[in-house]
Amino acid sequence: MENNIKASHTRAMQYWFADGLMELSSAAICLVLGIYFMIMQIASASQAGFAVLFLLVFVAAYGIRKVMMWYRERSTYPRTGYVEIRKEREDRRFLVIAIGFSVLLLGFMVFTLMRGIQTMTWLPVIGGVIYGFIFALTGYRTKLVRFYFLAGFCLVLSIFLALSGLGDFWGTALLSFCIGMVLLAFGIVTRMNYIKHTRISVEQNNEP
Amino acid sequence: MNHEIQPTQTLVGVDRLIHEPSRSAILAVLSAVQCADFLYLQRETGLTKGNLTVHLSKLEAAGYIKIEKTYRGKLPLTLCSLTEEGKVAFENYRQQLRQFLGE
Repeated sequence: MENNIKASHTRAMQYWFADGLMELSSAAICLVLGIYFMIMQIASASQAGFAVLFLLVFVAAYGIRKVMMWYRERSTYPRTGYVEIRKEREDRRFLVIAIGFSVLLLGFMVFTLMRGIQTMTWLPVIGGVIYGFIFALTGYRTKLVRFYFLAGFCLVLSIFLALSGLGDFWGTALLSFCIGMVLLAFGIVTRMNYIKHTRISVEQNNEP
Repeated sequence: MNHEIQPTQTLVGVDRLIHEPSRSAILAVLSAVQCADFLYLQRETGLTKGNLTVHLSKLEAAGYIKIEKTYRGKLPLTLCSLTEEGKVAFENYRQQLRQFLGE
């Protein structure tokens, strides 16, 4: 029974990734971030201009999330139902991991600056570590192997970009675009699979 | 005379409302999540709509689960969640089973 309860919890976590919408919306956010880094590289705006642009990225991410939720309400809930994950179970542990990771990243940046290494050259690696961390954590929580693959892909690609001289914002933009495209591919495959194996319940499914 | 509680006596004393397979399956799913709707429970437990309705009603009547009619956007949802009483009862049931199985 204990294993069944753990399996139920894992399935509830996986539920939010079963319809592919999470990947598709994350892909859109990555593409927006890619555009943002590209503008950072080519445009010569003031700091205030970049701050406004950064704010716009947040607004776009919020909008993408809203659209995803809107679509999910109409497409996913009538097919496979709705479940809310219990929050208190692992939240504290993940908060500790997130704080530890932030300290590590900060330490890396201070280290590179102190050693005279240009942090901008390694910007794609920092981006890759952040993306990789998010995907690895998602993979750990959901037990979905594709997120571990994504985490590895982010790290390898970011190191390759930094070593090949594509540092700075160009590399980070390219990294975001590539991750966005991979997420898009994953999202489309997952979505097609989900649609194929589920159907909208024609009954009043929520009226016991 | 030995007054020590035997494992078999533990099993006899389990909550029969929970011990029914369908209802223990429902409680097992709900114990792992914050709340779930009717369709999700139906998919997870494999019960028919009628069966699930009956078992949910019994669990609600016993005060083990709470059934709440709500909305997510414009979609009506019937959300089920364990009550505190339900959590305690299910935890006791699990302990009794573990005791019986000698785990």
